[in-house]
Amino acid sequence: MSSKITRYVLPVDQAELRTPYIGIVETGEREQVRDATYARYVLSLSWFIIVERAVDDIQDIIRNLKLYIYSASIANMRAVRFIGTEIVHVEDLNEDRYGSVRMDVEIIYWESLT
Amino acid sequence: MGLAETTFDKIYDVLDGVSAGYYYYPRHNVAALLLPAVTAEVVSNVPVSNEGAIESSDKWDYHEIAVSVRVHTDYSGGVQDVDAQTAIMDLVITALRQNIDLGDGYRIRSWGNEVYGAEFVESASLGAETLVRVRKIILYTQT
Repeated sequence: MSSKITRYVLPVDQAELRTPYIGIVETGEREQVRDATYARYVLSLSWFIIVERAVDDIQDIIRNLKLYIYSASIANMRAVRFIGTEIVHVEDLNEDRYGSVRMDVEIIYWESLT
Repeated sequence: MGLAETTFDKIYDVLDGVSAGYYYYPRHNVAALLLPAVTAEVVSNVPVSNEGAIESSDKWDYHEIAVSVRVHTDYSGGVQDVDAQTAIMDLVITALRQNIDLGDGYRIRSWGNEVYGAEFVESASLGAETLVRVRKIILYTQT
């Protein structure tokens, strides 16, 4: 079983934050099972989204991001299943002017070994 | 072809013939597993000698062959859907019940040891399992 995780540093200390800010904070891939001809993988993605409450519709952004991830991974990776999709409210920033959420998605796909 | 292989082929024919609504694979270790799925694999083949057990002009032995049949409804990390597992297992058992006599002396004796809500390492999946026992009788004419 192979596994690799990559973490990205989120520039949250910017003086002027442009919202909506959407960034990958972590990706990980692990092999779930393999047979003679195929290997199945789980790709984990974590997104960090920062919005300005008065301007941005966080639910709309999450919905569109999920649709984008799903359609892109189906088209490019032939993803067969999304599991563990979770929205975690992280914190309010700057006296509730900004809000942030973390979105975790796991994508299952497989590749031919031959 | 050995008895275990023949038994497996006969079970395969039964399950593949009624595979409306699920994918069928002839082994448990499947990476490219489309769901919902049914997989099967021979787990044991035990020869039993019956010599002297009955008084008869014929001597007969039999083989007891166990086939594990699994229903898969999601990948590991997903959701255990016992209702879906039960529905597909019902299809499997109905098919077995309608084909007790597999032909050529092969006969389904029982199915059981059912487990629901299981996780299978060979396929990294969630589902249910039952064990099908098949008996193959071999007759010898006494001389």
